[in-house]
Amino acid sequence: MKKVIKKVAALISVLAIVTSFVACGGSGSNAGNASKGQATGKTEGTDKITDVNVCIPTVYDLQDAQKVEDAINKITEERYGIHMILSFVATGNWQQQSNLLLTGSEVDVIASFITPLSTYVKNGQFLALDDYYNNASDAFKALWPIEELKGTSIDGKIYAIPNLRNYGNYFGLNIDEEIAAEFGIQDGQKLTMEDIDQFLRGAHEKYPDRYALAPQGGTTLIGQWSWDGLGDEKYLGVLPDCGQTTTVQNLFDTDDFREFCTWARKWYQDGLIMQDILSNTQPWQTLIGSKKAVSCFDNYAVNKVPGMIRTIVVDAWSASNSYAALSYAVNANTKVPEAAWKAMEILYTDQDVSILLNDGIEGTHYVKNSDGTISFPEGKTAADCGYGMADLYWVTPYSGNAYPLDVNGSSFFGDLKEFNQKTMKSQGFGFSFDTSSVVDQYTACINIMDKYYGALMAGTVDVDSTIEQANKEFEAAGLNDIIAAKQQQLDAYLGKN
Amino acid sequence: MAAVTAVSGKKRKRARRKMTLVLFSMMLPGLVYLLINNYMPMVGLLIAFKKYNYSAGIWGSEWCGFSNFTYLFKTQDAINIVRNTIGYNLVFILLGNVVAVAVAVMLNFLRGKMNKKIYQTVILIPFLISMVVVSYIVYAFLSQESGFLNKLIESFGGEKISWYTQAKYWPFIFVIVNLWKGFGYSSILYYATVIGIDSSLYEAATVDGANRWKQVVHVTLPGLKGTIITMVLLAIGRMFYSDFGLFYQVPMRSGLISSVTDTIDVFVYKGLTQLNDIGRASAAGFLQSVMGFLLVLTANYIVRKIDEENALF
Repeated sequence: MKKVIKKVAALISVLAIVTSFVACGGSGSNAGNASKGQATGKTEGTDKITDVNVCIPTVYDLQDAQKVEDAINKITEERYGIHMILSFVATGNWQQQSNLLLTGSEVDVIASFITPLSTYVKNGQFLALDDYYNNASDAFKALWPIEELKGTSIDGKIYAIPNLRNYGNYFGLNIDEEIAAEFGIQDGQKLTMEDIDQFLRGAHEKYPDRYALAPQGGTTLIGQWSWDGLGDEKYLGVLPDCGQTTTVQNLFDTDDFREFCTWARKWYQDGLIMQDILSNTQPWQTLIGSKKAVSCFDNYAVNKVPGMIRTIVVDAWSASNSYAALSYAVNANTKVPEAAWKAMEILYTDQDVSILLNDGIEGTHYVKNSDGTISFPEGKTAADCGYGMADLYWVTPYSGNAYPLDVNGSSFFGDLKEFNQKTMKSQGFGFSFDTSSVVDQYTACINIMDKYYGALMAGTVDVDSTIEQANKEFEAAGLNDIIAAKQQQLDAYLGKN
Repeated sequence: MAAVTAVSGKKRKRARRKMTLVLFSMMLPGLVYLLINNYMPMVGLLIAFKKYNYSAGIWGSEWCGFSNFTYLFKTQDAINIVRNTIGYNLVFILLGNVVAVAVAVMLNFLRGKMNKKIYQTVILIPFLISMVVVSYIVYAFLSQESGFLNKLIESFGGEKISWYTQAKYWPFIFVIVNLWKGFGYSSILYYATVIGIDSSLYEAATVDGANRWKQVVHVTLPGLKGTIITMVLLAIGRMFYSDFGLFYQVPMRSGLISSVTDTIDVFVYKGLTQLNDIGRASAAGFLQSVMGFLLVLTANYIVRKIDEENALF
């Protein structure tokens, strides 16, 4: 007996030490976002103000978010009787935090982002919005006519509202302005991969201490090229050729993929790409900006990058999930669905709110220019001005009513809408793959894709042998089942439309 | 004891009950904590057997039998990730405890308060560093272009090594990093026991002519036996879990080496963040705890067979 007590005591003391260590390490990181809502007072009764929690992704640290929120609420409480509680979640934490938020009712309006819309819907995380949409204001319906909402509908029901962003992309090379001029390359010029090869080698010779080609988004040359994952950003089964076909194929069997990887491999072997690319953490903007690199592949629409020119390799096209990739939805667990929808309408249609949400407070976060654009205050950038959302026009619900940034030009939002209309669309446009029938295979294939995709796209491994190896693993993991399911769903979708 | 026996049986009982009541009341906060934190959430295990629907909640979601578990066994990676998880844990438990005990014993032989304080602090520092920071420390050594090791290799005329793309180096890297990070913490746990060993035992041993080494073997180690067994049993219970930070952050998420870096936790994380499927994630957790529980029972059973005194229960 005594011995047992001694042992238990020893065990408990060990546990106590362990927990105390765990406790000092873990706390403090996410307290800020979710619980913030409770603090800001609920004004009940007389003027009936309803709290609505809105969750928006961001890239920058927004120290002044509370000030902006207060300014927005001055307007919304008076005009609509709605008090908005804004939470900004860093894109890197988005999946985890949004998932946690959606388990309860702490959030009402939330972006559908990174996780495919179809997944959210199949999990029962979002509310169907058809009834609300049908009763929406004319201004809202004018902004988003019902036919435009096909891209954010699942099984014929509207689950999200798209935001204003480019629904398609040019794929090309961004080049340092000065160096492009030396090589006689102009903004918007069309280049082939052979031209790029020649340019990179030239640049490498002339500037041997700079990387000729920097990675986009950390560790690969570019996230995606001319293939459409059909709502699946792991590209397990794609439409190649900018989606101008209706046959779903294994990405690793497509010529598009093989060609890109072969070029990447050559450049990697010849030292045009950093050898550490797979563990790189510096963004290309920094690498090129600080003269450590010359160029970088990128996808873009009508937005510009200061100090760089853009060229075109693959003409603009629009992948099938373009609308749904970032859209706004209502939490299925919300306690105030009516108010949540009202908040959506406000975010999309009220210009004053829109300007505050998108650009911040005049004088503090931006200054107006005579041509109708805005600039960050003297000496400040999006990253350090306290509220850099102006740079993230593609994130907020609707930026079209706000002011464009100086670098993008005064006609920016008009250009953007025109671009969206003109852009060639994938054959599967509006289709979104539902993984639920092949989850086991899908989970296994994601791991294989993660293993090889980045390495191949960065040129770090031999193309033929790696693709052969990957395909063997894919076959064993059931990629063919996924492709068959995708094809079947796509055919059904195309038949309906 | 003598005083208590003198009192009559009844009184003694009452006194003891009073005493236990006091003790129980002291235990209460801890019990409540355990109940809320460790027992109530167990209801969540149900999720592993449900097709979870966020709007329907835990009770409203449909049952789906064992279908959440199948993905763990369907893939070829299954054997691989189980092998990695258990293999690394075995090595970590073995080497980790050997090194920790050795360091604890050495600490005991240190003279001077100042020295002891300094050593204890220094060896504990790695434990307090976050894995993300550790991953960059490792990167500083292994970076292909500017890493310390590659610079070293180059200065000796060797060829640079691409550490992050070759699987063969990683089992060693993990073991080194894990040891470096963990030994300070566990050696201090052991050290706490070592200083508790009755010093008269050492004196007696010295009188009997035992040298340092003999003292360690015959006095310190037997004194540590209970703690070692407790620590190892605790570690065995977590055999199917892995240090997520170590296996996910330190290899910088390099896909090419995933055959040696994917443990159960990492595999599940990578597969399921994409799908938001808590049913499957819970299934993996459920399986890990059941396996861990069985392992503890087995290990404890074996310990009891060999040496009943030191078994945990």
